Amino acid sequence: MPSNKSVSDAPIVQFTNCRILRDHQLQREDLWVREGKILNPEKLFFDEKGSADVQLDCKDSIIAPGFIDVQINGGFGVDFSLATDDFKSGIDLVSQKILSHGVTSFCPTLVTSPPSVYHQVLPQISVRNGGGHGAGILGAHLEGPFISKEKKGAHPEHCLRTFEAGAFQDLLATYGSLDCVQIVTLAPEMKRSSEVIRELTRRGICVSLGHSVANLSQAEEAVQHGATFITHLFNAMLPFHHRDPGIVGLLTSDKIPAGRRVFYGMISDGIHTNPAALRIAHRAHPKGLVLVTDAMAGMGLAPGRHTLGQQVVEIDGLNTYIAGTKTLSGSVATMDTCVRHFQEATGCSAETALEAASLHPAQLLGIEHKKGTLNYDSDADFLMLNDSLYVQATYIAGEEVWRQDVSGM
Amino acid sequence: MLIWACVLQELILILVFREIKTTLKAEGVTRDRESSAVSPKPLQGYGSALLWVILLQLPSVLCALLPGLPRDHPESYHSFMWNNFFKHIDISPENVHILDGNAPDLQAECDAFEEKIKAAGGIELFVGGIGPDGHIAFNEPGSSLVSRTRVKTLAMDTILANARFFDGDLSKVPTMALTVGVGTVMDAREVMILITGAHKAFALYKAIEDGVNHMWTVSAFQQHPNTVFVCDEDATLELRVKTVKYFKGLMLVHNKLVEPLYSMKEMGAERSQSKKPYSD
Repeated sequence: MPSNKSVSDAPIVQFTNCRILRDHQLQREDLWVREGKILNPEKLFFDEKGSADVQLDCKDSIIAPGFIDVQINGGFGVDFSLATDDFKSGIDLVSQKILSHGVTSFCPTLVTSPPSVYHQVLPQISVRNGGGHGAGILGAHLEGPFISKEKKGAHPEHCLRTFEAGAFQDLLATYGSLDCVQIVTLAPEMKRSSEVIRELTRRGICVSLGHSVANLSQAEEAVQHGATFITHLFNAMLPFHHRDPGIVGLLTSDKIPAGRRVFYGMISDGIHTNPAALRIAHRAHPKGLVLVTDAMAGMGLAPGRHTLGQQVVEIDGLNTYIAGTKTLSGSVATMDTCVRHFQEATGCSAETALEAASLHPAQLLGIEHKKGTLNYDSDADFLMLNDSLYVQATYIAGEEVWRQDVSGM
Repeated sequence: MLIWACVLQELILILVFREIKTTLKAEGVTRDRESSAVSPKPLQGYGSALLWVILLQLPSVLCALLPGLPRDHPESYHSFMWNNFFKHIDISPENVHILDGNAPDLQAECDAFEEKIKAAGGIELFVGGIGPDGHIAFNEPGSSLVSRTRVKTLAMDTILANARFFDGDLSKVPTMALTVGVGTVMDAREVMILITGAHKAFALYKAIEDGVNHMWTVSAFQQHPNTVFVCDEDATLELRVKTVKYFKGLMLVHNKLVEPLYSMKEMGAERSQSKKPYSD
């Protein structure tokens, strides 16, 4: 049956025999797509008198919004914090490879680096839509160098900086340009952080608290000035204490401004946080949990030595340490394994696990009107998964960009 | 040839192919009026059947003229019909005809509706339900039993029932609706009325055990040559036990009449039996 030509000539695809994640539930509904966006079939039927041009049988798969990874330092041998000549092809490689993990949009993350690296690398990162070439780039995540010395983790000490002298101007001078920056992680206990946080928020950049020894009141103040995210909760911050919960206390703080929600990233690979800690966080504040991989260059590669910015790290199975130490540094987890592990560890529903990797990051970045959901008129970035939440196929803008090879599994 | 079926319960006229009519009757399109759920199961076999659907405007949609329910409101008839019927079947939207409550001349809209029915060759099958006051479509008590598609004043009962769509504010509820007339439905070649639930029991009693009366407009179908009332146990609560037992006994005979294969098999068996030269 032909679609109504008066509105659009574009073909209409109807995905049938599937369960879609909509309104926080898996519903037995068809998914309609036209021109890279989710289409409202009722409007199509009554207003345009249109119908599907192509019907695809999804064989009872789950259709969920594509995953959004807001903290990924590299993978497959590529390190986003290294200013190499072929940086562009490196980022292209990663964006293409993570399609198989179900990631349709991501924020390439740079760890603490000298200003020269930022000045060289940042202009080469551009916000762009995903497609057959790879996942979409939402903007860079700059993790450091304005972080605490005591909680630097795998970040190189000699590159740490403060913005005591010139506040925001110092930050701008370090990074060079903030054009395509989406998230900045900093330690709020640093002097003049409030000004910096306010200015970054004013520019639409998400401020995240991490690698910090802040206490709860300092963290709450930062949130009041505009911070909305916590970088890898529990890691690189003071542990929870019952008389001063520190940054972890933001999960249940009563000083959060009305109408705002604090989100927190968790690397649910079973290593960065004990599953019990993951459960505590999830139960305390389920709507704020954002799954991140914090993957580094060694992800997707064989065990051995790899780089993470200015450091050398060693991979042994799922563990990644600074070479010769027991300091955790990034991960080799993939987003889909994080989703599955999260579901297993918390016993939550598939819907909750899927939303932690799609809806919540979209809400964090304020883009849920077009990403992170299967609502009408949002971008048709979605995944087909089986009941065990293994990705079978990845779609960006309604086009299939990756499919599980049936022979291999 | 196109078969028309009018589902007055939700004010929809459905035109289905003749082949489907039998399936509908035999399987029985069930619907729980209160929860507004149409079981999609009987409809799944339709495949590529062409369906004409004509929607009658609910007052809620009519009052898109006034501040009222927009078409895409989750409680609108459009949404209801889409979610419970259209999206489960293979129907071409060009075959869906909706009375437009926003038309500049409502009576002309109704007349055009009657013309469309005529142009398609008349209604083949009408599927509908009844109200607790025995009304068919919005032919409220007192409606003429020979009425046609028209603008109809609504009874207070109906207005009260619709208040939930307008935040309980009675002053906002529309007082008129476009509806097919009793006469329009009587012109259908076959009629099926669905009645479920104890709250419809008294209306069912008035419809079939009392006389034809314009205060219970569905009773007009006593004078229709080919009408089926499909009910559940609760709907029969106000009927005489004798009536219920009588119709239950008829089910067996009825099934034979609608199942052509069944009848053919029987006929075939009889024929082969009669050919025997000797008796057992």
